[in-house]
Amino acid sequence: MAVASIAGQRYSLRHTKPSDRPNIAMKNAQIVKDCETLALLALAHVAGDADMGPRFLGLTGLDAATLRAQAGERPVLAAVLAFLASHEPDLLATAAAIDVSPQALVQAGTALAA
Amino acid sequence: MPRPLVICDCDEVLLHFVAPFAAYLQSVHALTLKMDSFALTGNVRNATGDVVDSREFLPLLEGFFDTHMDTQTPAPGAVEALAALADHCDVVILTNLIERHAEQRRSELAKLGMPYRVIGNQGPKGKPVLALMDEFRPSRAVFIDDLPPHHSSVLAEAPAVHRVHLVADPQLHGLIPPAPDAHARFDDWAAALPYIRVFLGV
Repeated sequence: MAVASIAGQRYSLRHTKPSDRPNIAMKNAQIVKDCETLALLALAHVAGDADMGPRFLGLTGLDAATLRAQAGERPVLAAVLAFLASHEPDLLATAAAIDVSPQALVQAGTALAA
Repeated sequence: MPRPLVICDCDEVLLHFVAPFAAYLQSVHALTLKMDSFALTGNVRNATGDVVDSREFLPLLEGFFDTHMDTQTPAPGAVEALAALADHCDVVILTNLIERHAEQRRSELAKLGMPYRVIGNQGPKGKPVLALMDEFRPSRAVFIDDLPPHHSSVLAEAPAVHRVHLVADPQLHGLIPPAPDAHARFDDWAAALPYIRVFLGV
């Protein structure tokens, strides 16, 4: 799926249901400014998720130790955001879990892949 | 080979503070602390409901640390998180305390399973963080604190340090907004630890 096609109007803050988490909703959306931090937040969540973690490793061909060692590097950060952009349920679940908007993750992925 | 460095605050990050402090104020001084806003000084009241003057506050705080420091218990996951990080990183506790309480803090933390170096600081934390960067020359460094102004101070003095805003007390989650000068905000160690590990590559 082309990133450009999902970066537009299909995603908005309401998809993350902030009302479900009244006290902590979107806290990171207020302060996270850089693409690397967004990607690190996403990677920490994906790598620790019982469903997404193994799928992400399978897709990248990395083992867990290599992923950990290379986690801060740009190719890995771009890969995790591309992984999320390719599957809407993963994108929405991760955005909600780390308190950022799905659109911010998609835009960061576009920037890191450039 | 340089190791990563973790610089971590204590009160409301590693140990609960507001609840044990409120219990001390009640039991020893018959004062009430109710966190209607994120401030300690304006929220302490006597039995008739009058706000305790801010000049009387510091002696109350020092009295708490003198006799009731051991009533503070670890935040959920804090002991395990620091232990996991200490396997790969240098860990230093940087906490605002007067000099005579720093050694007591070190031994209390050690008793609770957190046997790390403690630095007692007064005021903004940017300069002591910079001094630790000069001392350790770490590969990467993370600063963890619940108070937004300390993140601003670290940004100003040691901008290379990654700043994690962690508020480990649910009572304070709604009262402390995300620190604008932190990289990311977390409300518990369960969420913060995986992020810190990913950032440090450990």
